[in-house]
Amino acid sequence: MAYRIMIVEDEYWNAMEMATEVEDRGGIVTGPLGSLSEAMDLLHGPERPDAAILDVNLRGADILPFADMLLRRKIPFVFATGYDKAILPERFARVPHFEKPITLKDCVDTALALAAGHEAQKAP
Amino acid sequence: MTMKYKLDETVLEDLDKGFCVLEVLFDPDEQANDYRFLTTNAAFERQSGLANAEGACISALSARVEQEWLDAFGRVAKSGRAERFELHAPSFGRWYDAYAFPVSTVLRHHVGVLFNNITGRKEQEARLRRSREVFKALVTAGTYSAFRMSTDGRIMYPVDSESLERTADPIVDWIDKLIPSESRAHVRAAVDEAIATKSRFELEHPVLFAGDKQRWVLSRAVPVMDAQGTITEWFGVGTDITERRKVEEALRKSEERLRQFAQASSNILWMRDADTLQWTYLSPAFERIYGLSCQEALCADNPRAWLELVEPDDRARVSAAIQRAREGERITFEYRVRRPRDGELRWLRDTGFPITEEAGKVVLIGGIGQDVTEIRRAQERLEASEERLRASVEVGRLGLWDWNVRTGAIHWSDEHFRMQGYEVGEVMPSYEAWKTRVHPDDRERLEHELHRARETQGEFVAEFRTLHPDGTVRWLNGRGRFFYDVAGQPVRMIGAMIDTTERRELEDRQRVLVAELQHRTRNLMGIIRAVADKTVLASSGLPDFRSRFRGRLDALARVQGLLSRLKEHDRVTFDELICSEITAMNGEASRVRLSGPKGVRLRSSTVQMLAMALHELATNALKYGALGQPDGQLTITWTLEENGAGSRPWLHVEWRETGVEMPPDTAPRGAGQGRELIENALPYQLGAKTRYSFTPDGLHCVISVPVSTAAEAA
Repeated sequence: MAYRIMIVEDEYWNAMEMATEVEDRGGIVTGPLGSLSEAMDLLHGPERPDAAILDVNLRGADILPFADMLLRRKIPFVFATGYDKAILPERFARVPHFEKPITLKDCVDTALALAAGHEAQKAP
Repeated sequence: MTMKYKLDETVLEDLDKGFCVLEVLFDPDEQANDYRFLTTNAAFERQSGLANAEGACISALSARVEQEWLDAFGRVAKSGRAERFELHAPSFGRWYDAYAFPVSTVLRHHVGVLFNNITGRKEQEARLRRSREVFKALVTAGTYSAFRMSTDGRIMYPVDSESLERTADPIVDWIDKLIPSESRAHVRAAVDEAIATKSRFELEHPVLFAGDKQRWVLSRAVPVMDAQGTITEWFGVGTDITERRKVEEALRKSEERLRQFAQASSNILWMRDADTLQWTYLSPAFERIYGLSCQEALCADNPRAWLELVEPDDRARVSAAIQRAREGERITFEYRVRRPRDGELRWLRDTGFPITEEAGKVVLIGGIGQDVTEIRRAQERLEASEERLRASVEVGRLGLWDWNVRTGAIHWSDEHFRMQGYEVGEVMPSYEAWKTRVHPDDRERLEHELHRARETQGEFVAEFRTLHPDGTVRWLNGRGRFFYDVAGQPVRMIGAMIDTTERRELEDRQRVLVAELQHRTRNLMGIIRAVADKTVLASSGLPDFRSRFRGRLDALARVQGLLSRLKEHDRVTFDELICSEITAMNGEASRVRLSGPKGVRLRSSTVQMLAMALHELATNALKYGALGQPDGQLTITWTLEENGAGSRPWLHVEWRETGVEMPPDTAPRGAGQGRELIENALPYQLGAKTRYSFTPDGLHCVISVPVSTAAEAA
């Protein structure tokens, strides 16, 4: 089934890459969204992603509140970051984490798997 | 008629005494005034010293007629009674013992005189009297015995000191009996010497008492001599001096100890007369310190000579100090002397004190002089060293602390005060004063570290914040160590702090920069990968790929070049960027017209994207557009809108190609990657507004992009 993967990434190239990979794997790309405000808007909208790929360092913006929102809505996600893992708070310790330049394949695989797992949880 | 008596020659001639019969002559007042010798015996001349006296009057025989004698003979003549008396003839220096008697009841003026020259005896009596007087003078308090001694010195006769009468049996060989064996020879020699030289005998010697006790006695004896000067006997007294000797011995020992002390002491013990200031005593140490012999120094006008050796600058001070001692003060003074022998300068420290007699008058000044040259030098070295330390502490901005753990007293260097936001000396250094200024959040950690260092005897190391009263926060790095006594108790802690605030800020900034660099690098790899993928899609083969990819890679490299040359807070400006791109266009730069303000600052992310876009535009212009055709013209203009959309500055760039022969269709040139970049990527990533359109004679492209204000980060 085609899972909706939300991509939040401000670097155009990375975003395009991820989008292409997701689509190549049969997923549906929600976005990509280059800014936090756009991402928030989408989350409040009708579309609900099955999983998300979240860039940790969206230009100057603090994505942690957004990540918390994803946690609350039980939307699984992975981090893509150009910084070391250490700076993330404890509650995100178990979130899968990919350092740039990310291995696209692994990242997208994980996102899709999470979407599937999440979907499986929802099933009665 | 003169009567002549016929003397029985035998009796009178053999008589030792002088005999004469004389006629006393009277004056009209019945006073005897002369006498005539009628008869004399043989001994008369010898005894009297008058020659040819018979028939002569005394007045004719002697210049002086003793009145005393006349009176005596007159009395006998008148009274008819015999008299015995002693007659003194001072003119002759003689004494006579005389018996005058009447020789006839009829011739009453005729007196017989039997007489003896007793001058010798008289003289001896006089001598004895004198000796007794001298002897009595010997008898003092403490005299316990008086004695008379035989002329050979062997026999001693104890006598009463008043009457000189014998009180006990004579002691023969008194030296052997009364004197301890080890002293006998000495005493005997002294006695013999006195006898030989006929001089007074005076000797201190031990004497044996009953019960084998020994005491010391001062024996003094005077010779008693006869007329011929021969010693007839000795008078002596003994005085017990045992106690005095004990005192003297103690004093002697004390003086000996003092002397040894002075000899041994490396300090100069000196004594000056308080009036003349002449040295009266210098101990041997003087020689070593001054390089002069004590003898040399003690003679001569030594106060003046000595002052010559003192350094000129110190002379006034020294003289003043000695004067104070003269007036009764204890003094201490330091001064320099220059040794005469080698010219070396020595520092001396003298203490002096007045020595008074009973009335309180200062008679001597005593003192001790110490060569403190080495001490002084060490002090100077120490002071220099401390000065160096102090200077280096100040220069190095070290906050030193020295904590006496037992008393709680702490010493802080000046910088220590300042580091904690105190004025130098504003507070009394204390643990509390230090702790108060430590940031509340760091206090617990610090106490813990202090405790740990103290318990483990290890080094105290901690970096912490201090909060100054004006709100300033400074970071300090402190290192210290405890010192312990033999029981393992901490007695002292010393340490130093340095201010690391600037260093930390620098480190923070560097961390940010490094992080950004890491980010940028990682990002770049991602971009290159994406660009490679895109280029692959558009390339018709490896050579094509190579040239396209190289072009894009070079564009990226130029951007990195621009970015890496930046100093902190610098930005790449648009003019720099466009020039960099145009310059890279292989000699076609002359066909490009640029127009626009300098100094429009671009954020780093903008620079990269914009550079890529410009590269695509330029590549296309070269391949298909204005720069690839002889009549083609490229004009790039840009403007800065200070207050554009969203209340921020916007850069508007217009890329206008003219004189271009356009292809008949509107198929995309190349693979449309430039267009995609400009129409999709720029808006996506930079929030740019773009328009990409073809006019009949060339491409017209407009890019508007928000640019950084001064306050924004890259």
